[in-house]
Amino acid sequence: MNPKLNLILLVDDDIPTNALHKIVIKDSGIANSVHAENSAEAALKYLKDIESHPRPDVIFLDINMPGMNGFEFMKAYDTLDEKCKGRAIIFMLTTSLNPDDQVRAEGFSSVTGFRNKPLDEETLQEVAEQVVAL
Amino acid sequence: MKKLASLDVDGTEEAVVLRTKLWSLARALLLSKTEATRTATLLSELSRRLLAEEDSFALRIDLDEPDRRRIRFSVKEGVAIPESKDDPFRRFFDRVDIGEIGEGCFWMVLEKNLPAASSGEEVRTFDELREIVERLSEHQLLERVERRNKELAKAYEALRNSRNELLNRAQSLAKLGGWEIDLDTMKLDWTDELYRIHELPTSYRPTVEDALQFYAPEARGVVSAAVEKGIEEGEPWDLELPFVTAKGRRLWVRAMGYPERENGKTVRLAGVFQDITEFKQSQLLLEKQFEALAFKNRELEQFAYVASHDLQEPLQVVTSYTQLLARRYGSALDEEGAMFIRYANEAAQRMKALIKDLLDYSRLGRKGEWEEIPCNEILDTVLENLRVSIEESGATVTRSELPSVIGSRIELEQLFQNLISNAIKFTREGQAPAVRVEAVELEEHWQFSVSDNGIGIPPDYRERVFTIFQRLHNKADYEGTGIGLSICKKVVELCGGDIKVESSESGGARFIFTLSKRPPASDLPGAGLKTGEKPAANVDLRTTIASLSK
Repeated sequence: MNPKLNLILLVDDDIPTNALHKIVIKDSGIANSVHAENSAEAALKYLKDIESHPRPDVIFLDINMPGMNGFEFMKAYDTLDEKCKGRAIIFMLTTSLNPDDQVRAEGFSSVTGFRNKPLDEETLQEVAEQVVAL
Repeated sequence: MKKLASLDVDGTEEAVVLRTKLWSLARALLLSKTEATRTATLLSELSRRLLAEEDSFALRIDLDEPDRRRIRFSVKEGVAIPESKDDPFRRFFDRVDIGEIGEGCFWMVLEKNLPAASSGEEVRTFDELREIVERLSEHQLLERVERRNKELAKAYEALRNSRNELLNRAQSLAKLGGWEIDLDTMKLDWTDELYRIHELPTSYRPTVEDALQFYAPEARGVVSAAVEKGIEEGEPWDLELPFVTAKGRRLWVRAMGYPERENGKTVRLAGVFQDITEFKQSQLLLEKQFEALAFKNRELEQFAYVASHDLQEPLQVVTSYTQLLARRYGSALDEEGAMFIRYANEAAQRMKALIKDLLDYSRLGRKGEWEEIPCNEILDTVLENLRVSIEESGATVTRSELPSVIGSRIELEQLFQNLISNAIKFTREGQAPAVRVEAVELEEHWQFSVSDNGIGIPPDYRERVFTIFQRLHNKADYEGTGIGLSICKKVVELCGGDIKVESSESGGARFIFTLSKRPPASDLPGAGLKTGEKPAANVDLRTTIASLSK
C-alpha cells in the first residue's frame, strides 16, 4: 500500500514525544517522511524556507509549549504567505482535552481538529483518511 | 406738669399690662419704637423690682402740658435699691432722681424728653392720652396675652408636627421603630414604623402578649427569656430574630430592649425594633459564599496535596523498573532501545520534579510562623545555598541596604532564591551574571527589585511567566519545571504585595515586588469576617436611635 501522505511536520517542545511520534508514524506507513521541530518559532522558520524544504501535508501542533505556544503559532501561521502554507492540514495536540482550548481553536479556521497526545496507529489511520477525503 | 394718670400696679399680670400701656403711651407721645420699647422695658423692670419687695406700688405719670416736651414717671415710695450712676435708667432717662425717705424706703422720679411733632404727625389730645393709659382694661389685655399664647402654642405644635414627620420619615427609611411598655399598666406603645413592620393598621392596639406572637415560633422563647431577664435583672437585650408579619411575610428583625430601673426595680421597658431582612439576607449570602469559598480552597489544597502524593507512588515504580531494565538488559539493547529507556527515565524524573514543585506550591501559606525577618539575613542564606552555581557562573551579587519584613522565613527564602537563581541561570553566552538586589521604602510597602544582565523577558511573556508550569524556554536550553516564578508570585501575594517584571538597564530582567509592612493575616477573601460578626455599618445603630429619640 502506498503511503497516503508525503510529509508530516511535528511541532512539539518535548524531544521524547517527537521521537515517539516519528516512530509511530513510520510504523503506520501513512507518510513518506516525518520532520520534527522543537519549538513553534523553529517550525515557522522551517515553513518560510520554501527553497530547502517540501510543504508538509499535515502539521501536528502541540498547544502547550514554552515561549510561543500553539495558539500563537497559529496567529503567526495565518499571516504567512500562501506559498509557505502549501496545502497543510493542521491538527492541534494536547494531553487533556480542555474545553477552553477547543473553543479557542475554533477561532482559527485553519485548524482542522484536535487529537490526543501521544498519537497512536488508529488515530493516524483515521487522520490519513480524513485528509485524503478533503 | 399736669398729672396724666396714677396707676396702681400689683402682681405680675399687672406688670404685663403696665408694659403694654406704657409702650402705647410712649408711641402716642411720638417716641420712636425703640425708645417706646426701652421706656416700657425699664419701667417694667422697675416694677419687677418694686413688686419683689412689696405687694403693690403707685406709678404716677405727668406731662408738661401744653408744650409736651417732657414726661415724668414718679414713684412716691418704694423699697427700690438706689441705682448707680451709669445704670440703664440713667443712660436712657434725661432725669433720674432718687431720694431716701428713711429705713430703706425711697422715692424716684424719671423724666424723658419728648420729640417735637413734625408736620403730618398726629398729635393726640390730653384726653386721648389718658384714654390710652386707662382704657385698656385688664381684661382686654389678658385676652390679648391669651391670644398671643395660643398663637405660640399653634406655632409650637406645627413645629413639633414637622419634627415628628421628619422623624417618622427617617424611621421609615431605616425601617426602624420604637416601643415602650409601662410595667405598671402593661400598656404597650408603638411608633408608626412598628405598625408598618408588623403590617398592621395604626388603629390596632397591641398588647404585650400579641407582640410576642409575631416572632417566628422558634424565636418566641428567646424573646420572652430576654424580656423576663430585662424585667428581673435590668439587663438590656439586642437580638436578631426571625419574624412573621400580620400578612404572613417572613422577616428578619433586630430587637433591642432597654429596661428602665427605679429603686432597683424595672418600671419601664423601651426598645428599638428594626427590619433587617435585606441586610440579613446579604449577610447570610456572604457567609454562605465565604464558607463555600473556604471549602473550595481547602478542597483544592487537599486535592493538590493528595494528587501529588499519590502520583509519586506509581511514578516511583516506573522509575525503578526502567532503571532495572537498563541495568539488566542494557547490553542486549541496540542504540534505539537505549534511547527509549533514557527518554522514559528522563520523563519520569521530570514528573517527579513537577510533583515535588506542585507539592511545594500547594503548601505555600500553610506552614511556618510569621515573624519579623531582616532581608539581609535572608539574602545571606540564599547566597550560601547558591554558592556552587554562583562560583561556576562567576556571578556577582550586590545589594543595597535591605529592610526587615514580616513573613515566613522559608517562603521569603524561596522568593529570593528563585529570583536570584533565575538571574544566574538565564544568562547570555560568555557573560558573567551581575545581579543587583535593591529595596526602597513606600508608604505601606517595601519595594524590592532584583535586576540582572541576562537574556531578559520579551514584553509579550511578562505576565505569563508567573503562571504555574509556564516556561519560556525549551527544557534542552534552560532546565526547570516552570514553577519558580509562580511560587514567587504566591509568596508575594501572601505578604500583601505584588510582583512584575520589566526590562533592566542592560536589557536583562528586572523583577520588582512589594511586601506589605502590615501583611494580611490570611489569603482568603473575607477571611477577617467571622460568622455572626456584624459589619461596622450596623454598630452605630444605638447612637442613631438615641439621637432620634431626643
